[in-house]
Formats: sequence, C-alpha cells, structure tokens
Amino acid sequence: MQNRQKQSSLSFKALIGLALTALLLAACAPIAPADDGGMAAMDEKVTITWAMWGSPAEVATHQSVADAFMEENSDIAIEILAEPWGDYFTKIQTLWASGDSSVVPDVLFLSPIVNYASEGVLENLDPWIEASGYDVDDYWPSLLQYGMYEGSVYGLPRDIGLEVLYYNIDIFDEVGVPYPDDTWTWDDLKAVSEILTVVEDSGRVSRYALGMEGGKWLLWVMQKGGMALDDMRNPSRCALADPEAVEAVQFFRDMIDSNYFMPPANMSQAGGDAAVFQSGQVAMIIQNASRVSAFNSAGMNYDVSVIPTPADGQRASAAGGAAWVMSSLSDNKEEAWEFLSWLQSTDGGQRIYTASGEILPALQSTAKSDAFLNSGQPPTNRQAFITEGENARMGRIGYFVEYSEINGSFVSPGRDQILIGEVSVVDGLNAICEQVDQFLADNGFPK
Amino acid sequence: MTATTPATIRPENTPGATFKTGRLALHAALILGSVAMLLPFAWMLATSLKSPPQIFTYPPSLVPDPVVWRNYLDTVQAMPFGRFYLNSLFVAVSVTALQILTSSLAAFAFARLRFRGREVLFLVYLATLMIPFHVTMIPNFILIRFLRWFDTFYALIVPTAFSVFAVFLLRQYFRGIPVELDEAARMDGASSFRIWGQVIMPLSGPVLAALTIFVFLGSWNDFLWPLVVSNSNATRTIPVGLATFRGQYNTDWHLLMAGSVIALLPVLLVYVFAQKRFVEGITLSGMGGR
Repeated sequence: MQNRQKQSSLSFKALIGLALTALLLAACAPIAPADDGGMAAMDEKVTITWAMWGSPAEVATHQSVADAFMEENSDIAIEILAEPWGDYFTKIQTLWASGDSSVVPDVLFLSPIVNYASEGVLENLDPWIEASGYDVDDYWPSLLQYGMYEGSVYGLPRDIGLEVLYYNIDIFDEVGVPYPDDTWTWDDLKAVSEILTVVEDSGRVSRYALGMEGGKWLLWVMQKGGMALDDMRNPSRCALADPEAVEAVQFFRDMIDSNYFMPPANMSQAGGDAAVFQSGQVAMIIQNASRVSAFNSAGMNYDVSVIPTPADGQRASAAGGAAWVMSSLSDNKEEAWEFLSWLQSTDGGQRIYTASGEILPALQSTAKSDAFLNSGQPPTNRQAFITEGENARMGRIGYFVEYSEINGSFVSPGRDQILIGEVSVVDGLNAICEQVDQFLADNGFPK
Repeated sequence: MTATTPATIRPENTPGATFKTGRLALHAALILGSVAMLLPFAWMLATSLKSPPQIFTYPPSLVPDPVVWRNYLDTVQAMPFGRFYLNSLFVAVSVTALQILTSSLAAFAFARLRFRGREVLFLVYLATLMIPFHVTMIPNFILIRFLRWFDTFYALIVPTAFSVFAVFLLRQYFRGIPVELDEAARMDGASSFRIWGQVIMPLSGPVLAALTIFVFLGSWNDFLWPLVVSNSNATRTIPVGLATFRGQYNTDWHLLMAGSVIALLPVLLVYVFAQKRFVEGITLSGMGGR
C-alpha cells in the first residue's frame, strides 16, 4: 500500500514535469515556419502562394511546375500550399473567412467557379486578359464557360474533364469482338455488350460489359439532344422529362436490367470504375483522362475510343474542369497574373502537366502538340480525346449558384432511384422535374 | 477432448452441464465479437501488403499474394513521414499532458473549492459542450491569426489544451472521493494545491488513465483543425498527411493502409500500456466488479 502510493505520486510528479516540458517546448517552437535556408538574402523577391489539392505524386508535379517558373522568373518565388482533396475547400473557405491577405493564397485551384465568384472573393480576370493579350480562343469550345460568372472570366480551367470509352484489349481479344471505333452507335454498343457480359449459373454477373459513374448520366441525355434544364445559366424549367431525356435514360436502364451495364451503386461499392476495370469485372468504362496514369502504372492492356452515340444523336462530352483563379485579396496581383498566364500556356505549365500524363490539357494547342499526342505512353488512340474535345459541350452542370442545391437535393437522389430500379424511368424523371420546377419557381427563376 | 468427456456422461440438467454450455455460449459470443472487431484491422493489414489490382478482386482474400512490402517504403517516401510522425507525437503528448493538468485543476475547483456562483459557472461551462466544433472553427482561426500563431505548434496545441468534457469527467470523479480526506489534510496544514496534488490526484488513477487514452487518441486522430492551421510540412500531422492519399479521382488504398498501420502503432502502444494501468487501478482500489 505504502509502496503503491509512492509510485502514484511519483508518476504524478512525472506528469506535471511532462506538462511543463511540453509548455516550454511549445514556447520554443518558431513562430514562423522554419525557412531560414538563406531566404534573408533574397528579400527582394515577391512571393506568390499557390494552393491546390493533390496526391503526393500530383504535388510532385506541381512542384516541378513551380520550379520551372522560378527558373524563368528569378524575381518571383512560388510557395506551394498542397492540401488533401475534399477538405481542401473547408480550409480555403476558412482562410478566406479570416479576410487576411497574408494567409489567403494568391493563386488557387477551385471548382465550381460560380459559387466563389458570386461571393466576391475572386479577381475578375477580364482586365488582365485584355491588357496582356492572353489568347482565350485556344481553349476547347465551351470550356472557358466553366470559369465564367456573369459574363466575365474568373477562372482558367487547367484541364478538360471530357470522357472517352476505355476498353480492355485482352477481354475483347479473348471474346473475339472488334474494338470500338468512331462509327459505333448505341445499338452497336448493346450488341457487343451482350457478347462481353458473363453471367454465372448462380446469377452473379462476373463480368459486365460497361461501367460508368452514375453522376455522368447527363452525357446520355445530351447525346440524345436533351438537357437537364432548358437554360443552364438562367433556367425557367426542368427538361429531364422531355422525350429525348426519357429515351436516353430508358436505353441505359435497359442495359442495367439486361446485366450489360454495372449498376453504379454496385460499382462504387466494388471500389469505383478504375478498380472494376483493372480487375476485369468490367470490359469498358466511360471516364475522363484522369484514369490514364493509374492504368499505365498498373501495366494494363487497354485503349480508348470515342463514346458511342445514338444513331440520331451527337457527341456530348463534358466541357468542364477545375480552374486556376486569383484571390481578390492578393497583394501581388501583377506577379500572380504573370504566374497564372504562364501556368495556362503551352510553353509553360500546360506542357509540364500534360507530359506528366495527369491531365488532358485545357488548351487545344497543347493537346495537339507532341506532349500529348506522341507521349509514347498508352493509350494509343489519343485522337479520341481530340475528337471528343472538339465536340465538347457545356451543360453537364448549371452555371449558377443554386445549381449545387438543385443537383444535390433533387437530381442526384432522383437519378439514383431510377438507376437502382426503384421507380420507372418516366415516373422518376417526372418526379425530379416536379421538384426542380417548384424550386425554380420558389427562387424566382428565370431571373 | 478430455475436458468434454465428463460433461457427456453427466445428465443434461445438472448445474455443471448448464455451467459448461453457458461458458461455451459466452465464449462463442466473445470469439465472434472479437473476430468482428479484429476483421477491419486484419483487412487493413492485408490491404497494406497488396498491389492495387489485388485489393478489389472477387472473391475477396485476406492473404496478399504476392506480399508487397514495398508499399511501406513507398508510403514513407511519398511524404516527409518521419517529420509528420514526430509532429503528431509532440502534439498528442503535449495536448494530453496539458489537458490533464488544466482540467484536473479546474475540476478540483468545481468539486472542492467553495466560491460564489460555482454551480452557475459550471453549468455555463458545461453548456459550451453543446456548441459543435464547426461553429467555433472560423472564430478560433481568426483568433489564431490575431495571435500570429498560424502554422505554428501553438495553434495545434493551445486551443485543444482545455476540454469541457475532461473537466466534467474529472469533477464527477473527484466528488466521489471522501471530503474527510481533504479535511484531514487541511488540518495538517496542506494548501489547496497540495490537496489537489497529493490527495485527490493520487486517488484518481483509473479516471486519469481513462482520460489519457481518450485525449491521446482524440489528439492523435484529430484532422480538421490541424489541417486548417498548418500550412507547411514543419507542422503537419499524420492524419493530414494520410488524407493526401485520397485523391479527387483515385485513392491509393495500399499506401493509405500502409500509412494507417504505421500511424496506428503508437496508439496501440498507449492503449496496451494505459489499459493495463486502467485495469490495475480498478482492482487495487477495490472498485472492480465481482
């Protein structure tokens, strides 16, 4: 007993000691992050802070872009602020809320642009573009719309998230069907899907022909000539119950019911489209260029093609992509613009990102340069990206602030119900439109 | 085998048999429970040793083939992992020590010292427990900016060095300690600090051990606040580093899991160590069950 008490009071003293040591250590920690590596000698330099999200590999590419810029512009230092995807936006919003230009990054990666531009935290880039003669015509058609708000450019999209059809060459060879090409229609897709799909005796589908994230479903609607809303900037009504939309969604719902198309909910449970494509559970996926580096590093035998269109339809890949913006709080706008316009040039950042294989560049001149077309890496048929890019369309999202709410509250939940099979296509689309029309009326649209 | 033989010759309704089947059922339930608890850990360990295509194969397998040890090397090399580790350790140890110090002093005051408005003050203090973190995040951040603590260890440690929950927990425990002990000490001329340090705290081993586990785990796993107030690798912690493996389009599950296994080790050590003390505290102070 005596012994135990002594022990407790001893360890208790140790605790106080530890607490005091922690206090002292904390007091010794430098106020500013340690950057005494000879920075004092270069205080003439203007420092531009540059924020983005990214995996460790992507951050390494961002760093090489910053290094290349600093080599060309010795008077500007670029400081990278890389955050994990997802909570990046929470952090950036908190920094902005402080209203302190010393903590808000000068140049940032953002999406969607309208939500931030409408808050007044972004610099209107129109005067800068005009003064410097920056070439905005080099962007893919409709792409720059993604960075615009009320007719002015606030963000320069870094890449274009347009989709292509990825196919597993090994599976196609094994089954003995021809590879997809530019002539494929939805009917060809369906015919080939029947051959590619493998259903076990137990009823379990061991291989689906096709997979695509549910969130991309407006691709089908737009390929048929439909839209989500009658006007994606200032809507007056929901257009998802129109015949084009109904036909398009019905076609793919039938594909799901026939086991040709992996239900999106099952796909995300199985690890997402990249996982099921890599493990051979799905023979084709519709996805943007973001998968290329993962498939290449896994050594997959695959290629890409344009997305099959309905016989009476059109190409409708999405013209959209996260954009670089300038903070309206920036203290060094001249230098920030110099960096921003360099980032978004074929001789500058665009080439480095493209060469890394991480993006499909926003600038047509970069995409048509050797950096993209002749990178020496799979996929072979890179022309598919160019073809889809030249026909890319705006309209996958709405370019107004309330669209996030419309999509999150009505369109996405309604779509999931339809694709799971809880409601018929017609009923489901009508239900979405009733809710959306009510929302538009309540919020005073069209404005 | 030999242990079960007597049970089979006994009539079914003897106390011995019910005892045995009862034990058996209990153990079956416990084994089932622990398997359910251990499976996620086993899955994490297995995933950390798989190559990306292996992770999502069907049917799922707990055995990586081949075993990819390289994942651990890749994880550690993908970011300044050692630096993040030390930062996390420093922050978690500091927060734990400071929080136990501040909250035990506050709890002592609320439980033992008599002053005007004590109960009201405690009630108001307790009420702040209802305010979610997200509401106070931006004001806290603005305060951190004002103090020029952005991107320093102060910002990571000081705001979390105080905890309403810990004060509440300790106060309730302190109130259960007989007041006669304090009075005896005071008769012998002990000051309040001395009573706190040499009477109350030594008698509170179990609750302090439990609190240590809570606080250390909470601080070690804390994500959002460290993300917001740290900018540079010099102050980044492990959870923020690990989150970068979850990308916009792809998640590097193999690296994420390898990193998680490494990050788990100190937590596991603290738990194993503190749990022993925790159980010891219960039995020695005669407060255990049975």
